[in-house]
Amino acid sequence: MADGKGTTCLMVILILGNIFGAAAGLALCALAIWVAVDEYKLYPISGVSGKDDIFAGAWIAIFTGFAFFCMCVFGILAAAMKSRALMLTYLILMLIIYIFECASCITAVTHRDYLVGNSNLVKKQMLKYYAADGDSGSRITLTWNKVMKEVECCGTDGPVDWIEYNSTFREMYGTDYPWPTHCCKRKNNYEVVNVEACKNGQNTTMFTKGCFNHIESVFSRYTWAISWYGFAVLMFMFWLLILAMVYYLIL
Amino acid sequence: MALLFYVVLCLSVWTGLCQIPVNNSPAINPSSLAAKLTSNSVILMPPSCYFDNLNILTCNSPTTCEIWLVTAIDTGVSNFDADKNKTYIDTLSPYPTAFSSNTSKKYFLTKLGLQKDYPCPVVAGTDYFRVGSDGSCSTPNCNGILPVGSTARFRYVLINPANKTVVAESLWSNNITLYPLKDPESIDNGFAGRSASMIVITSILCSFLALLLLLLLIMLIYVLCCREEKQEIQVPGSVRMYDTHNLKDPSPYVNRAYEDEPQRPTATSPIRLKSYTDYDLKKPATEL
Repeated sequence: MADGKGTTCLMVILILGNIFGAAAGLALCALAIWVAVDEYKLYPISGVSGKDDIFAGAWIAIFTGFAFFCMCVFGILAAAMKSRALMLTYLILMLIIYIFECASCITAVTHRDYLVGNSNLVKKQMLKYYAADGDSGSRITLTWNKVMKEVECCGTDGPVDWIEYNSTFREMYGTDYPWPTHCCKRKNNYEVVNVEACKNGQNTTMFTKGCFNHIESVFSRYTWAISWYGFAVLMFMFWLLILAMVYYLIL
Repeated sequence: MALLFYVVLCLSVWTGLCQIPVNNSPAINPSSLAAKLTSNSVILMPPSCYFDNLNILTCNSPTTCEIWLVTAIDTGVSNFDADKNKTYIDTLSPYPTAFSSNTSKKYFLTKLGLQKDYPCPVVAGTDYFRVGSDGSCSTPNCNGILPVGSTARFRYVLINPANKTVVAESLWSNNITLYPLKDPESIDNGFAGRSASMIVITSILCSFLALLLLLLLIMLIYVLCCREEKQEIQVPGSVRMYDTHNLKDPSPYVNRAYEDEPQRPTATSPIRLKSYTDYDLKKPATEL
């Protein structure tokens, strides 16, 4: 070959880039598994509304992350063997995986905007499904109870949500309780500290901040994991593929 | 003159013909209670210092006089003012029928307690009174919830428990409007706006993907039709260029000039003599 030294240099760069890409792909797979597992257990909020494609993006990213890993290992092989056929296979398969990963990133970030762009969707869902009958109602009720207890909050933007709007909860319990008893502070043995003061709204006996900040931060965390990290991996893979194309041309 | 006036006043009260007015009016509790105004209940300031400096001949001690609250909605104000001279005022408009139809009286009374329970200055812990704390109740003078979104006025009255007449009364409060319940279906949960990161990610990824596809296509087209096979320039004397083919796959050299021969002797099929006629033994050669 005419420029053997240049070819060897490019081969070394390609092999190093593929090693790094394999590690990045495996990390993407692991991160997507973390999102899919949903440690904060907030999936029902997105599932009941039908806008659960953050998790669909996570599932796609599990497979594309692992596929990136496998293809980068194959790319090391193809570059070392200086074979044109193998390099072409590598390029075409990497492109297909690239397309899927793009889809995952864009889906996750778009659906995050639908879900937590503002508090309306979460508020409407809470008012409609909290304390309602049926499968959706029970899932939403359990999720909200858990959030209110752990994050120490009440309502979406605050307890005033329960007062301003009609809701399934108000229709069932509204003559007595202005808001659910999970909004009240509890002692260590899970008893409410003071039910009457909580019904009056005394801020020493109930939680007065809204839960939307927490919900929004959790979904944003999941989305940034899938979309921004996927974006970073794709930017790196773009330049790697450009180099691979150049290598193929001079092989 | 003043004594006469006083005697006349006391006599009128004693006969139940007029009530001593007190210059306070109920108001919403100003402290930071989150539920002080809901769609069917209100939290008011208690009547702590309202009826303290009165000399009343009938229920004449804080241990006997009772404090009651009057809740009235639009025409109920005038209905109560018309009824307040009567005895047994607590039976005139019981709670279950107070707001039930267009012709009902639209006011009701509920008992707070004895006058001594509301001392002046106010004791911490009793500094609120919640109207509507009994929920949707059915006894005649329970502290029931108000109709949703209504505009109510309140008044504290001092009642003689003997014949349930109004002895003293505060002013009517201002109009207090309860929250009208909004329908959750009116919340618009549609398009929430695109965030900046969504625009950045989508646009950059799509454009890079398109670029990649384009470059791959160009590369494939170039490779398939425009590229010439690279000639390996044999530089004389350059040992690197020599392909040692006979060491790679040894094979016997075959001279192609003899292709038309029907049978070529090879290592595996040498020529076999079919028959040999020894002419010398058969016929001795004659000498010429």
